Amino acid sequence: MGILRKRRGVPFARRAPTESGQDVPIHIAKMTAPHVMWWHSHVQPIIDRDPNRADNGWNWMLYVPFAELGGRVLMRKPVGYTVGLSDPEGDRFVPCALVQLLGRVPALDEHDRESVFVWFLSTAPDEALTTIEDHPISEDQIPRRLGSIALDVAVTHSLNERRFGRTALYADERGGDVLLQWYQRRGMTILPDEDKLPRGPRRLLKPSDGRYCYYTVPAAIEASKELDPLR
Amino acid sequence: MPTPTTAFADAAAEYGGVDPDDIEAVQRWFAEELPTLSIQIIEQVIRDLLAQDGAVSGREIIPVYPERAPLPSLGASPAVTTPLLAEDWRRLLRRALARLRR
Repeated sequence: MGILRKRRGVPFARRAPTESGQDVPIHIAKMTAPHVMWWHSHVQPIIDRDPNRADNGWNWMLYVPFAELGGRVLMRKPVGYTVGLSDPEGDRFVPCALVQLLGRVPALDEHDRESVFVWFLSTAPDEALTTIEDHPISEDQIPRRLGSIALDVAVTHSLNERRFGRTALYADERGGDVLLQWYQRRGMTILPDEDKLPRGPRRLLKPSDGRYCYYTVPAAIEASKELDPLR
Repeated sequence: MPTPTTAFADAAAEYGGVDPDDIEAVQRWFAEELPTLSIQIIEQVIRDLLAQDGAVSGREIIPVYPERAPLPSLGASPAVTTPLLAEDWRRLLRRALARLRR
Protein backbone atom coordinates (compact mmCIF):
# COMPACT_ATOMS: atom_id res chain seq x y z
CA MET A 1 0.00 0.00 0.00
CA GLY A 2 2.84 2.35 0.88
CA ILE A 3 4.60 1.76 -2.43
CA LEU A 4 1.36 2.20 -4.36
CA ARG A 5 0.66 5.42 -2.47
CA LYS A 6 4.06 6.75 -3.53
CA ARG A 7 3.55 5.75 -7.17
CA ARG A 8 -0.14 6.47 -7.68
CA GLY A 9 -1.98 9.70 -7.17
CA VAL A 10 -3.80 10.05 -3.86
CA PRO A 11 -7.22 11.74 -3.93
CA PHE A 12 -7.84 14.65 -1.58
CA ALA A 13 -10.40 14.29 1.21
CA ARG A 14 -13.98 14.45 -0.08
CA ARG A 15 -15.91 14.49 3.17
CA ALA A 16 -15.54 15.59 6.76
CA PRO A 17 -17.16 14.26 9.92
CA THR A 18 -19.72 16.35 11.78
CA GLU A 19 -21.31 16.28 15.22
CA SER A 20 -24.50 14.94 13.67
CA GLY A 21 -22.62 11.70 12.98
CA GLN A 22 -23.04 12.09 9.23
CA ASP A 23 -20.20 13.22 7.01
CA VAL A 24 -20.57 16.38 4.94
CA PRO A 25 -19.15 16.59 1.42
CA ILE A 26 -16.18 18.91 1.12
CA HIS A 27 -13.94 19.69 -1.74
CA ILE A 28 -10.44 21.01 -2.17
CA ALA A 29 -9.95 23.75 -4.75
CA LYS A 30 -6.96 25.81 -5.82
CA MET A 31 -7.00 28.98 -3.73
CA THR A 32 -8.32 31.99 -5.65
CA ALA A 33 -8.63 35.72 -4.92
CA PRO A 34 -12.39 35.50 -4.10
CA HIS A 35 -11.64 32.80 -1.49
CA VAL A 36 -9.05 35.03 0.18
CA MET A 37 -11.25 38.12 -0.08
CA TRP A 38 -14.20 36.34 1.56
CA TRP A 39 -11.90 34.94 4.26
CA HIS A 40 -10.49 38.37 5.07
CA SER A 41 -13.97 39.87 5.07
CA HIS A 42 -15.79 37.27 7.13
CA VAL A 43 -13.46 34.75 8.84
CA GLN A 44 -10.35 36.75 9.80
CA PRO A 45 -12.30 39.35 11.87
CA ILE A 46 -13.59 36.49 14.04
CA ILE A 47 -10.10 34.94 14.34
CA ASP A 48 -8.71 38.35 15.28
CA ARG A 49 -11.05 38.51 18.28
CA ASP A 50 -9.32 35.47 19.79
CA PRO A 51 -5.83 36.41 21.02
CA ASN A 52 -5.03 32.77 21.78
CA ARG A 53 -5.09 31.68 18.16
CA ALA A 54 -1.74 31.37 16.37
CA ASP A 55 -3.31 32.94 13.26
CA ASN A 56 -4.60 36.00 15.14
CA GLY A 57 -3.65 39.10 13.15
CA TRP A 58 -2.80 37.23 9.96
CA ASN A 59 -3.42 38.98 6.67
CA TRP A 60 -3.96 36.52 3.82
CA MET A 61 -4.45 39.44 1.44
CA LEU A 62 -0.71 40.06 1.88
CA TYR A 63 0.53 36.50 2.42
CA VAL A 64 -0.89 35.04 -0.78
CA PRO A 65 0.71 37.50 -3.25
CA PHE A 66 3.90 37.41 -1.17
CA ALA A 67 4.05 33.61 -1.15
CA GLU A 68 3.13 33.34 -4.83
CA LEU A 69 5.68 35.90 -5.95
CA GLY A 70 8.39 34.89 -3.49
CA GLY A 71 7.89 31.22 -4.23
CA ARG A 72 8.17 31.82 -7.97
CA VAL A 73 11.25 34.05 -7.72
CA LEU A 74 12.97 31.54 -5.43
CA MET A 75 11.75 28.65 -7.64
CA ARG A 76 9.84 27.02 -4.78
CA LYS A 77 6.69 26.08 -6.76
CA PRO A 78 4.14 27.89 -4.57
CA VAL A 79 0.55 26.62 -4.50
CA GLY A 80 -2.48 27.53 -2.42
CA TYR A 81 -5.47 25.31 -1.62
CA THR A 82 -8.86 26.02 -0.10
CA VAL A 83 -10.81 23.37 1.79
CA GLY A 84 -14.49 24.19 1.50
CA LEU A 85 -18.11 23.11 1.65
CA SER A 86 -19.86 23.06 -1.69
CA ASP A 87 -23.42 24.12 -2.34
CA PRO A 88 -24.14 23.05 -5.94
CA GLU A 89 -27.75 24.32 -5.86
CA GLY A 90 -26.76 27.84 -4.89
CA ASP A 91 -23.43 27.70 -6.81
CA ARG A 92 -21.62 28.63 -3.61
CA PHE A 93 -18.36 27.46 -2.11
CA VAL A 94 -17.75 28.08 1.59
CA PRO A 95 -14.02 28.23 2.44
CA CYS A 96 -13.35 26.42 5.74
CA ALA A 97 -9.52 26.27 5.67
CA LEU A 98 -6.74 27.89 3.66
CA VAL A 99 -3.35 26.26 3.03
CA GLN A 100 -0.43 28.02 1.34
CA LEU A 101 2.39 25.67 0.36
CA LEU A 102 5.80 25.81 -1.20
CA GLY A 103 6.03 22.73 -3.37
CA ARG A 104 9.78 22.44 -3.68
CA VAL A 105 12.12 23.01 -0.74
CA PRO A 106 14.97 20.83 0.57
CA ALA A 107 13.72 18.26 3.09
CA LEU A 108 14.61 18.90 6.73
CA ASP A 109 15.77 15.33 7.38
CA GLU A 110 17.47 14.57 4.04
CA HIS A 111 18.78 17.83 2.61
CA ASP A 112 19.37 16.38 -0.85
CA ARG A 113 15.69 15.39 -1.18
CA GLU A 114 12.78 17.68 -1.98
CA SER A 115 9.86 18.36 0.29
CA VAL A 116 6.69 20.42 0.53
CA PHE A 117 6.68 23.26 3.07
CA VAL A 118 3.47 24.49 4.71
CA TRP A 119 3.93 28.25 4.84
CA PHE A 120 0.48 29.26 6.12
CA LEU A 121 -2.40 27.14 7.33
CA SER A 122 -5.58 28.41 8.91
CA THR A 123 -8.97 26.88 9.76
CA ALA A 124 -12.25 28.72 10.23
CA PRO A 125 -13.62 28.94 13.77
CA ASP A 126 -17.16 27.52 14.17
CA GLU A 127 -18.60 30.99 14.63
CA ALA A 128 -17.40 32.01 11.18
CA LEU A 129 -19.40 29.19 9.60
CA THR A 130 -22.59 29.57 11.63
CA THR A 131 -22.88 33.32 10.98
CA ILE A 132 -22.66 33.46 7.18
CA GLU A 133 -25.31 35.86 5.95
CA ASP A 134 -27.87 34.05 3.74
CA HIS A 135 -26.01 30.76 4.15
CA PRO A 136 -25.48 29.89 7.83
CA ILE A 137 -24.27 26.38 8.56
CA SER A 138 -25.94 24.65 11.49
CA GLU A 139 -23.75 23.61 14.41
CA ASP A 140 -24.21 19.90 13.73
CA GLN A 141 -23.19 20.31 10.07
CA ILE A 142 -19.90 22.09 10.72
CA PRO A 143 -17.05 20.02 9.28
CA ARG A 144 -14.75 18.65 12.00
CA ARG A 145 -11.08 17.65 11.79
CA LEU A 146 -10.41 20.65 9.57
CA GLY A 147 -6.84 20.96 10.89
CA SER A 148 -6.06 17.33 10.05
CA ILE A 149 -7.72 17.65 6.65
CA ALA A 150 -5.77 20.84 5.87
CA LEU A 151 -2.50 19.18 6.89
CA ASP A 152 -3.45 16.18 4.76
CA VAL A 153 -3.82 18.54 1.78
CA ALA A 154 -0.10 19.28 2.13
CA VAL A 155 0.81 15.59 2.46
CA THR A 156 -1.40 14.66 -0.50
CA HIS A 157 0.19 17.40 -2.59
CA SER A 158 3.58 16.04 -1.59
CA LEU A 159 2.62 12.48 -2.56
CA ASN A 160 1.12 13.61 -5.87
CA GLU A 161 4.09 15.83 -6.75
CA ARG A 162 6.70 13.11 -6.19
CA ARG A 163 7.88 14.44 -2.86
CA PHE A 164 6.78 11.05 -1.44
CA GLY A 165 4.90 12.66 1.44
CA ARG A 166 7.84 14.69 2.73
CA THR A 167 6.24 17.74 4.30
CA ALA A 168 7.65 20.32 6.71
CA LEU A 169 6.41 23.35 8.56
CA TYR A 170 7.26 25.78 11.31
CA ALA A 171 4.93 25.64 14.30
CA ASP A 172 4.13 29.26 15.16
CA GLU A 173 5.56 30.28 18.53
CA ARG A 174 2.17 31.61 19.60
CA GLY A 175 0.80 28.08 19.41
CA GLY A 176 3.21 27.08 22.21
CA ASP A 177 3.70 23.46 23.24
CA VAL A 178 0.06 22.66 22.49
CA LEU A 179 0.58 23.26 18.76
CA LEU A 180 3.86 21.32 18.71
CA GLN A 181 2.18 18.38 20.45
CA TRP A 182 -0.71 18.54 17.98
CA TYR A 183 1.70 18.14 15.06
CA GLN A 184 3.49 15.34 16.90
CA ARG A 185 0.19 13.52 17.39
CA ARG A 186 -0.34 13.77 13.62
CA GLY A 187 2.93 11.81 13.23
CA MET A 188 5.36 14.65 12.59
CA THR A 189 8.90 14.69 13.95
CA ILE A 190 10.33 17.80 15.60
CA LEU A 191 13.70 18.87 14.25
CA PRO A 192 16.05 19.22 17.26
CA ASP A 193 17.12 22.83 17.76
CA GLU A 194 20.80 21.91 17.37
CA ASP A 195 20.19 20.50 13.88
CA LYS A 196 20.96 22.72 10.91
CA LEU A 197 18.34 23.61 8.34
CA PRO A 198 19.13 22.88 4.69
CA ARG A 199 21.06 25.58 2.82
CA GLY A 200 18.85 28.54 1.95
CA PRO A 201 17.59 31.82 3.38
CA ARG A 202 15.81 30.12 6.29
CA ARG A 203 19.03 28.63 7.68
CA LEU A 204 20.24 32.17 8.24
CA LEU A 205 17.03 34.08 8.83
CA LYS A 206 15.00 31.60 10.86
CA PRO A 207 17.36 28.89 12.12
CA SER A 208 16.26 25.70 13.79
CA ASP A 209 14.87 26.40 17.25
CA GLY A 210 12.96 23.23 18.05
CA ARG A 211 9.76 24.31 16.29
CA TYR A 212 10.35 22.94 12.79
CA CYS A 213 8.35 19.76 12.22
CA TYR A 214 8.49 17.31 9.34
CA TYR A 215 7.06 14.09 8.02
CA THR A 216 9.43 11.32 7.08
CA VAL A 217 8.23 9.25 4.11
CA PRO A 218 6.88 6.34 6.25
CA ALA A 219 5.22 8.73 8.73
CA ALA A 220 3.57 10.69 5.90
CA ILE A 221 2.20 7.49 4.41
CA GLU A 222 0.80 6.42 7.78
CA ALA A 223 -0.78 9.84 8.29
CA SER A 224 -2.24 9.72 4.79
CA LYS A 225 -3.74 6.27 5.38
CA GLU A 226 -5.40 7.53 8.53
CA LEU A 227 -7.54 9.90 6.49
CA ASP A 228 -8.49 7.31 3.85
CA PRO A 229 -12.06 6.94 5.19
CA LEU A 230 -12.60 10.62 4.27
CA ARG A 231 -11.34 10.35 0.66
CA MET B 1 4.76 34.09 13.87
CA PRO B 2 4.91 35.22 10.27
CA THR B 3 6.45 38.46 9.06
CA PRO B 4 4.52 41.29 10.78
CA THR B 5 2.09 43.35 8.73
CA THR B 6 4.12 46.46 9.55
CA ALA B 7 7.07 44.99 7.62
CA PHE B 8 4.86 44.60 4.54
CA ALA B 9 3.69 48.20 4.98
CA ASP B 10 7.27 49.46 5.34
CA ALA B 11 8.32 47.58 2.19
CA ALA B 12 5.39 49.04 0.22
CA ALA B 13 6.34 52.51 1.48
CA GLU B 14 10.03 52.12 0.65
CA TYR B 15 9.71 50.50 -2.77
CA GLY B 16 6.32 51.81 -3.90
CA GLY B 17 5.85 55.13 -2.13
CA VAL B 18 2.65 53.81 -0.55
CA ASP B 19 1.26 55.29 2.69
CA PRO B 20 2.26 52.61 5.25
CA ASP B 21 -0.78 53.37 7.40
CA ASP B 22 -3.17 52.63 4.53
CA ILE B 23 -3.31 48.84 4.73
CA GLU B 24 -5.67 48.53 1.76
CA ALA B 25 -3.20 50.46 -0.43
CA VAL B 26 -0.41 48.20 0.88
CA GLN B 27 -2.43 45.09 -0.03
CA ARG B 28 -3.14 46.49 -3.51
CA TRP B 29 0.54 47.27 -4.02
CA PHE B 30 1.56 43.70 -3.19
CA ALA B 31 -1.13 42.17 -5.40
CA GLU B 32 -0.94 44.52 -8.38
CA GLU B 33 2.21 46.67 -8.42
CA LEU B 34 4.99 44.54 -7.01
CA PRO B 35 4.66 41.78 -9.66
CA THR B 36 5.25 44.41 -12.38
CA LEU B 37 8.53 45.67 -10.89
CA SER B 38 12.00 44.48 -11.82
CA ILE B 39 13.17 41.11 -10.59
CA GLN B 40 15.91 42.81 -8.54
CA ILE B 41 13.36 44.86 -6.59
CA ILE B 42 11.07 41.86 -6.13
CA GLU B 43 13.99 39.82 -4.78
CA GLN B 44 15.00 42.62 -2.42
CA VAL B 45 11.44 42.98 -1.09
CA ILE B 46 11.21 39.24 -0.54
CA ARG B 47 14.53 39.11 1.26
CA ASP B 48 13.56 42.07 3.45
CA LEU B 49 10.32 40.35 4.41
CA LEU B 50 11.83 36.92 4.97
CA ALA B 51 14.44 38.54 7.21
CA GLN B 52 11.64 39.71 9.47
CA ASP B 53 9.89 36.35 9.70
CA GLY B 54 9.00 35.93 13.36
CA ALA B 55 9.93 39.50 14.29
CA VAL B 56 7.76 41.39 16.74
CA SER B 57 6.75 44.84 15.62
CA GLY B 58 6.63 47.76 18.02
CA ARG B 59 3.74 49.39 16.23
CA GLU B 60 0.38 48.17 15.08
CA ILE B 61 -1.62 48.58 11.91
CA ILE B 62 -5.36 48.46 12.35
CA PRO B 63 -6.70 45.81 9.96
CA VAL B 64 -9.35 46.80 7.44
CA TYR B 65 -11.73 44.04 6.47
CA PRO B 66 -13.56 44.22 3.13
CA GLU B 67 -17.26 44.66 3.81
CA ARG B 68 -19.63 41.84 2.88
CA ALA B 69 -17.45 40.14 0.29
CA PRO B 70 -19.67 37.59 -1.50
CA LEU B 71 -19.25 33.86 -1.00
CA PRO B 72 -17.06 32.44 -3.80
CA SER B 73 -18.89 30.67 -6.59
CA LEU B 74 -18.63 26.90 -6.78
CA GLY B 75 -18.26 27.03 -10.57
CA ALA B 76 -15.12 29.11 -10.21
CA SER B 77 -13.72 26.78 -7.51
CA PRO B 78 -13.48 23.38 -9.18
CA ALA B 79 -12.21 20.48 -7.08
CA VAL B 80 -8.56 19.63 -7.68
CA THR B 81 -8.24 16.38 -9.56
CA THR B 82 -5.78 13.63 -8.72
CA PRO B 83 -2.89 13.57 -11.17
CA LEU B 84 -1.94 10.41 -12.99
CA LEU B 85 1.34 9.07 -11.63
CA ALA B 86 3.56 6.23 -12.77
CA GLU B 87 1.39 3.30 -11.62
CA ASP B 88 -1.77 4.82 -13.07
CA TRP B 89 -0.10 5.27 -16.44
CA ARG B 90 1.12 1.69 -16.34
CA ARG B 91 -2.40 0.46 -15.58
CA LEU B 92 -3.85 2.54 -18.40
CA LEU B 93 -1.25 1.27 -20.84
CA ARG B 94 -1.85 -2.34 -19.75
CA ARG B 95 -5.60 -1.88 -20.28
CA ALA B 96 -5.09 -0.27 -23.69
CA LEU B 97 -2.74 -3.07 -24.78
CA ALA B 98 -5.18 -5.73 -23.56
CA ARG B 99 -7.96 -4.07 -25.57
CA LEU B 100 -5.81 -3.99 -28.68
CA ARG B 101 -4.95 -7.67 -28.31
CA ARG B 102 -8.67 -8.62 -28.17
